[in-house]
Amino acid sequence: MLRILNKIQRIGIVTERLPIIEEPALEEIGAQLKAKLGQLFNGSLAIREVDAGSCNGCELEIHALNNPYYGIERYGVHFVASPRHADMLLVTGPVSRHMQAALSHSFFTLILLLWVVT
Amino acid sequence: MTTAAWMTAFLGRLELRDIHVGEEPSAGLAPARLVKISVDDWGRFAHEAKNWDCRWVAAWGEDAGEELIINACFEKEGTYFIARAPIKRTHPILPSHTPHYAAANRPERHIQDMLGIAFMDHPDPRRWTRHRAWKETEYPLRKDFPAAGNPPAQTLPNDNYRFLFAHGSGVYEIPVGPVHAGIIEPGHFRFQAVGETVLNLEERLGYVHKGIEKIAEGRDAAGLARLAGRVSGDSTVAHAWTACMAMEKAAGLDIPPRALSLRAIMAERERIANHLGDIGAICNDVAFSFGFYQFGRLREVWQRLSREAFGHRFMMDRVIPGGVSANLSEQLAVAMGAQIASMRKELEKLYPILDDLPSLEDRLDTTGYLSPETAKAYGALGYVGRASNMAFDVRKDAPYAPYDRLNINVPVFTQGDVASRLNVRAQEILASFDLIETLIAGLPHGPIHASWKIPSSGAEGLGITEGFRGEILAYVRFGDDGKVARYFPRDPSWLTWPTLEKLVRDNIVPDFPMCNKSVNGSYSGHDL
Repeated sequence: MLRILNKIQRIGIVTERLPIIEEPALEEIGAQLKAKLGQLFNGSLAIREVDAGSCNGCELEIHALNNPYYGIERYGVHFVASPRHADMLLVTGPVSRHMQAALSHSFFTLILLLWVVT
Repeated sequence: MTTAAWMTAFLGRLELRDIHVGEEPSAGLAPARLVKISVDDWGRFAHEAKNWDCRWVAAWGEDAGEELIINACFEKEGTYFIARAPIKRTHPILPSHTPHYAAANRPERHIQDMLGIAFMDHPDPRRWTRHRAWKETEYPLRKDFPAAGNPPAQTLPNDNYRFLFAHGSGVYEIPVGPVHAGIIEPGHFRFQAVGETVLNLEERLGYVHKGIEKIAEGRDAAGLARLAGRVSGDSTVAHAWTACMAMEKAAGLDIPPRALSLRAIMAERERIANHLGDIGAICNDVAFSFGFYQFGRLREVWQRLSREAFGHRFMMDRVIPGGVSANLSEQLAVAMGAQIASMRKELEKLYPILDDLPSLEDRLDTTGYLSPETAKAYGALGYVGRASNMAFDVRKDAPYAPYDRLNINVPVFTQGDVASRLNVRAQEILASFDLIETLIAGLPHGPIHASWKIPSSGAEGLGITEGFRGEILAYVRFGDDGKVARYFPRDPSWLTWPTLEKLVRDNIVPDFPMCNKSVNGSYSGHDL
C-alpha cells in the first residue's frame, strides 16, 4: 500500500489545462459549444458510443480521452453503458451492413434523442 | 533460409500414401514453399500434415475464372509451406481440414460464405461471416459480385443463428452484444451458466464485416498499404508491413536497410503501446484503478512520442510499399532512448506492485486457464500461446529482416491463466525496449524508401510478420497494370478467438471481462 501511495504522490496530477487556442473562430465555437452544453444538458453530456465497423483506432482514442492527461469527465462529458442513459449517440466506422439493425435499435432506445455524431 | 529436412521426408511420406504433390518454385512466396495437390487429396493431405505435427496457419480462396483456387498454409520448425488445389467452378466441393485441425473451422466457413466453396465433412456448416447483408446464394469474392453488392434497404438482424442450446435445472442463458457496455468493438457472446459458473460460451462475430478483401481488388500498391493499415487499427503498422512485404516480394523489390529498421522500431513501439494499454485495462476490469491510470498514463506518453517521431499516434500510413514515409531524426532517436530509460525505472516499481497485490492475485491467478494441449490444438499465437507453452514467434523462428540479425527474447510461461498472459506482455515490453535500443544504435544511414516497381500480371507474394497479437499473414496477387487482384490478411485473432470459448469455461461470469481482455481478439481484423 505504501508503494502505491508513494507512486500516486510522486506522479501527482498530470491532467493538462486546455491549450490556449490562437484561432479566433475556434474560440468562438468553443464558447458556443460550452453555452450549448450548459443550456441543453445542464453542463453534463452522456455519450453512448457505438462501433459500427471502425478499425478500432477510434475506440482506442476515445479511451484515451479518459486517461489522466485529458480527463474529459471534468468537462461534464461522460461515456455511458446504455443508450437509455445517453443524450448522444457517437457512431464510429462506415456502418457495416451487419451492424445496421443493432445500430438502429440503439438509436430508438435513446429515450430523448438529442444528438447523433458520426 | 535452409530447406528443412523434415519437409523432404514429409513429401516422401505423402508419395507413399499415394497423395501426389507437385512442388512448384514461387519467388514471391519464398521462403514458404508451394505444393500443388488435387482436390480429392485435400482432406487426406491435412491428415498427414497433422500426423507430421505441422501447425495449421491459414486458408484462403480465390476466384480464378474457370476454376476456384484454395490455399492452406502450414508451418513446422519455422518453415512454411502452402498447399494449393484447383476446384471446378461447376462443382465447388472439397474435403475439410477441420476434422484434423480445430483452427480451420471458422476460416473454412469464411471461405464457404465468401466464395461458395462447400466443405463436405465440416462439422459445423452454419454461416459465419455472412449474416443477412447479401443473398444466401451470392458469394462476394466471386468476380461477378459487384463491389457495392446488392444489399437490401434494411439488413435484417441475424436472429436465426442456431446457438448451442443447454437445458436442465438452473441453466440459464446470457446473451451479450453485439453492442457492449464499454467502448469496444461489436460482437455477440452467448453464455450458458449455472449460478455464477459459465458452462459454455459461444461467440458470434462478423458484425464489423466491411468487405476488406473485396474492396482491395483493383487498388494500386499504395492504396492497398493504406487499406491494410485499417484492417485492425491497433495493429496498423504490423498489417501494413505484412501487406507491403507481400507486395514487395511479388514485385521482387528490395527495400533500403534504414527503412527496414524504421519499420521494426515502429512495430515494436506499436507492440509496447498495446501491451501497456491492455495491462491497464485488465487492472480496470478488476477495479484496480491505480493500475489502470498508471499504465494509461504510460501509454499516453508513449503514443505522444510516436506522434512526435513519426507524425501519428498509431503510426498509421507510415509503412508504404518500398519503405516508410517518415524518417527518424537524430534528436528524436535520442528522445526515444531517454524515454525507454525512464519507463524502465517506472516499470521496475510498477510490476512488483501488480505482482504482490493480494486482490489482483485472487482475481487473475488460475483464472481463464488455457491448457498447453488446447493451445496447441487451436494453434494459439502471441501472448495467448506463449502463456500456455507455445513459444512460436515469427521474429525468432522464421525471422525476417531486420530481426534476422537481432537477438529476440521470447518469454514463455506454462500456467496458461490470465496472470500468465499479463506476465508475457509485461516481459515483452521489456524485451521490446531492448530491441528498440539495439535498432536505434545500429540504425543504417541512407534512403527510407525505394521507388515502387510495378509487378508483372499474376505475380504473387506472401508476407508473414509478428504483430502484437502474434503471427500475421498476408497474401497478395497482382492483376494487370499493377492493380491488386487478391488480398487476404490473416489476423492472429482468427486463431485466438476460439481459445476464449475454451478458457472461460468453469469460470464465474464476472471474470469474463478479464478473460476476454487477456486474449483481446480484434473484431475488425477477424470480420474483415
